[in-house]
Formats: sequence, structure tokens, C-alpha cells
Amino acid sequence: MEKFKNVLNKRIVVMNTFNLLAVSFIALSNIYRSTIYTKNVDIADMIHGFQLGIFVGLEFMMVMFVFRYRKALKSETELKKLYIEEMDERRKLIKDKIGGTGLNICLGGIATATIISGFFNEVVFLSLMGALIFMALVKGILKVYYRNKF
Amino acid sequence: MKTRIQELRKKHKMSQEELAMVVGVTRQTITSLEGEKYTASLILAYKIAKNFGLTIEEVFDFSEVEEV
Repeated sequence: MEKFKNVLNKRIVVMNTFNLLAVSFIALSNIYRSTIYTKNVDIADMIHGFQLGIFVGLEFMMVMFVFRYRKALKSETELKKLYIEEMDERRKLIKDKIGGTGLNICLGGIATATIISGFFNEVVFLSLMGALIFMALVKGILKVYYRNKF
Repeated sequence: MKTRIQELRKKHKMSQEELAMVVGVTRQTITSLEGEKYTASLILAYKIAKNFGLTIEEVFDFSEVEEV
């Protein structure tokens, strides 16, 4: 259990660092936005809103996790519960299934969208093709890695 | 896979939560095992069988496992 405690402490440090960086990004994006997207205000607002939403959401999640980890580090019972929750083999299987099946569904969806977008818009087609190639590469590399590992 | 977990748990007056804590899984995993929705790993099967003082074959029914 000492090993798990160390893992939790490391996670807290990483999450706190991320939160600090996220706050800095939010502050900087407010300044940077006004100098780069001056032509189309609507799109500038949408992009900024999206970036802000992602970072605020992630920060909120990390703060919740930090609270949870701190609580677990203070009580042996909570620590054991958290350990069991994280190491539970059924949950791991579910996660693996979601990852594997999810990636295949995404690949299929993006491949379809790439083909369709080719008839209408060049920029969208190239963006989707880039995403498709990246995802296929990730899948391929992971396949080779895990075949060698196990 | 059919198991005798529920029967043995009741015999030993253990709740799903208690058994889960002893063998290091969540209560939902025990529920799935008892409901034959999930097949335990070798390590989990060993831990469960050991908890009841039995062998794996005495807890888990391998009669329906297909031979290749």
C-alpha cells in the first residue's frame, strides 16, 4: 500500500502543476486572443470559449481528484477502497473494451466523414485525413508495442 | 461461468461487500460473478476459493468450458 500512497502523492503533484499551467493558459489566452482573431469576432469568441471550457473542465476534474486522493491518504479504509476501485479487474476489462471498441468506432466514423467531406471541402477533407492517419498510426504503434510486451 | 460463490457466501454469512473487500475487488464484480456475466481471472478465482477454504474447481464450474 506504500507504493500506492507514493503513486497518489505523485498524481497530486502532477495535477496541481497542471492546474497552475491551466490558470496561466487561461490568463494568457485572454491577451493573445485579442491580437490574433480580429477578423471574425464570432469565431474568435467560439474558439476562446472552447479553450476556456476545456481547461476549466479539466481543472475542475483535477481538483476533485486531488480532494479524493488527499482524503484517501488520510484514512487507511478510504485508501483501501480507492486501491480496490482502481485495481478491480472487471473495471480494467471494461476500460480496455471501451478503449479498443471506441477507437475502432472513431476510426470508422472519421474514415466515413473523410470520404464524404472530399466531395465538398478540401480543408475539412485534409484535416479529417490527418486525424485519421494519426489515429491509425497510434493504433498500429500500440498493437506492435503490446504484441512485444505480452 | 457457473459458480458457487453466492451459495458459499451465504453459508459463511458474508455479504457481497465483505467478500469483495477480502479478495480485493469491487462489490459489482462479485455481483457480476454471481450473475454469471463475468468470468474471474485465475488470481481472483484462487483468492475466492482460498477464502472459502476450497479449490478453484470446487467453486467454479468448468464443465461448460469448450475444448479446442
